[in-house]
Amino acid sequence: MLITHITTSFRQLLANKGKSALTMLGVVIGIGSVIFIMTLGEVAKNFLLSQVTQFGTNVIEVAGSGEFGPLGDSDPVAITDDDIKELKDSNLLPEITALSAGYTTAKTAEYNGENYSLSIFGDWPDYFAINNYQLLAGRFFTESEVHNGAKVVVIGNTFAEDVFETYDNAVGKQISIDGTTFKIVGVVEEPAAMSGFIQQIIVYAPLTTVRRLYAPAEQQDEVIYILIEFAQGTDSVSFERRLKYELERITGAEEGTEPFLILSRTQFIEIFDTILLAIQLFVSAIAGISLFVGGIGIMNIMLVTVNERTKEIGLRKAVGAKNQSILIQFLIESIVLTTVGGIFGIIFGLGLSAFAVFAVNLALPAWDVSFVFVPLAPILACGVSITTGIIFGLYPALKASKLHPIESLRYE
Amino acid sequence: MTEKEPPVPPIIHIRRLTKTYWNGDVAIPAVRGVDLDIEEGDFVSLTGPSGSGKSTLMNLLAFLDAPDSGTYQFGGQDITAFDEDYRAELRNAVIGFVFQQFFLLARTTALDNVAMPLMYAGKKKRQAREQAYDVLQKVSLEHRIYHNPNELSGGQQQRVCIARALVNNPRIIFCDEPTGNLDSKTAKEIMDIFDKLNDEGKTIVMVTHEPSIAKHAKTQLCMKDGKMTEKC
Repeated sequence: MLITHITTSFRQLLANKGKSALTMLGVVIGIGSVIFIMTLGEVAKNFLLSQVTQFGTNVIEVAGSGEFGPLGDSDPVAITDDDIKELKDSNLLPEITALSAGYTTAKTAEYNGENYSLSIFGDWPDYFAINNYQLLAGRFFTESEVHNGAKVVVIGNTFAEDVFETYDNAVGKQISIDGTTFKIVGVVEEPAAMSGFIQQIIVYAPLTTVRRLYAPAEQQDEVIYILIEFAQGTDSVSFERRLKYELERITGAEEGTEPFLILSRTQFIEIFDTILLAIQLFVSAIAGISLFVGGIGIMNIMLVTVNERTKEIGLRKAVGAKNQSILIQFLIESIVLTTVGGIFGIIFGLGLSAFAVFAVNLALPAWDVSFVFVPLAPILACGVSITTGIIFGLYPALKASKLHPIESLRYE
Repeated sequence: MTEKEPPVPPIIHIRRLTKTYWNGDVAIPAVRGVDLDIEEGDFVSLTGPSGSGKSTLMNLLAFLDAPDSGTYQFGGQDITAFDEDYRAELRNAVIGFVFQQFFLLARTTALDNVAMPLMYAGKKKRQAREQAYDVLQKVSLEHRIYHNPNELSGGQQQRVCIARALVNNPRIIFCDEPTGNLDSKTAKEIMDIFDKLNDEGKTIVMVTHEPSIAKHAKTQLCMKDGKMTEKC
């Protein structure tokens, strides 16, 4: 009986292809957007995760006074070179495996008559190791160059490609940054997210050089960020707590104030997750509205169908169909409508996601985003489709089931 | 005292049956106290002018509707107080219908149209189709089983209806103007089928307003103003 109802439903659906298609549109769009946002969310999360792993997840970033400014109501607290040294040697933080601290500022560079806005990061050579930067040509700057304040700079691959065409070609060239001539000593591969998304040129120079040239006199021994790499397997929550304690102790920050922004890379993922969830909820709400409107469309078409097929209902009852059989028959028809709509929605959503991934890869090849299939999405979509069919098919089906056999047979 | 066979109850036994329809606030007394007995194996025609209540009476006899008052015993069993679901079950089990407008399901083969009542009896699809094929053979349509109604002539469509009415091997067949939509030659063919069925022992009750069709019946009943009359 069930199979008969389902085949009958498909026959009805195919008999009125145009009408059925229009009816299902709301469900298709609703389900499609759910699939789209779930898939893209996962794609984005996977991408971000791969980026963060590329950086290394066992890294904590600390921003102090300077460009991030005070957080909360507290005054900015300066972190000096001496503080860094003390932190590095702290007995409370034996897990530190590498540490770099730097100063950064935005400047304009000039090469061959062209101007480029860029950020210059002054740091120690450890910066490259902590961030897992791969050398493409030349070399990193050295510790002695930091001590000497050498005017050398390491550039990213995008900048190198744009200005010098090849990496090797960039090495040895002279570039003027804010009027000072620097020599390019190396090209590094930047994380994809940095090269594409932020669209910002970043160059790396020895800390002392950058500070001497660009920092105000009172900040000559200050850093504005710290990157700390800790041993794998460290309890990051405990480490972070001890780090905070030590930072406050060393810098003499007032107790209870929050002068530092401490961000572990796993926290980035958590923050992203929260944002993603918010976006997903928002889109789901819109999809919900679409499904509601689609559901009303389904209800409408089912009412029309019941009306058109009054004689059929009368006949079925005359030959022995009970109210319940008629109810189930029309409920199944409505479920078939929404489920077929849902399946088209799944195809539509997956297609759109695949296209979006393709488009991103076309526009930003460096990102190398890969498509992710979320198995939960189609399962959820099917569930939602069936539920929509039941909810919006119930009233027409109930109406059909309560028709009187004689009146239905006589219905004109 | 002599041993007597218990009398075979008539298949239909009704007393003082009434049914009133409401058209808004206006009461239309369609059946006004009808007494009637129909024996098993009879061929009954029910004639009368339109509005005489003959269709209403047939609907009551066929469990399509419940009477307002009176009693109805079917095969000796009082079914007056049966509820809707039980009446549906009864229709499915013991009654066959043949309608003037055929009421065949569109885009559904003759075979599946005939098998349809058996689906409500809980039969498996395969078995239902086998039984449907048998009765289609009986009405000489075995070469048309995969045709949809719109591919069949009027006479063929009515034969599909007869097959559908026979598929559950009913105790009684109700026909409402079965030849009303057919030309006279086809009408005769259809009536021949009914005659043959009655010869085989099927009880048939036929509502018609055509005297030539009513003549096929063994018992000719007439109705006027919701009551049985002697003269037609």
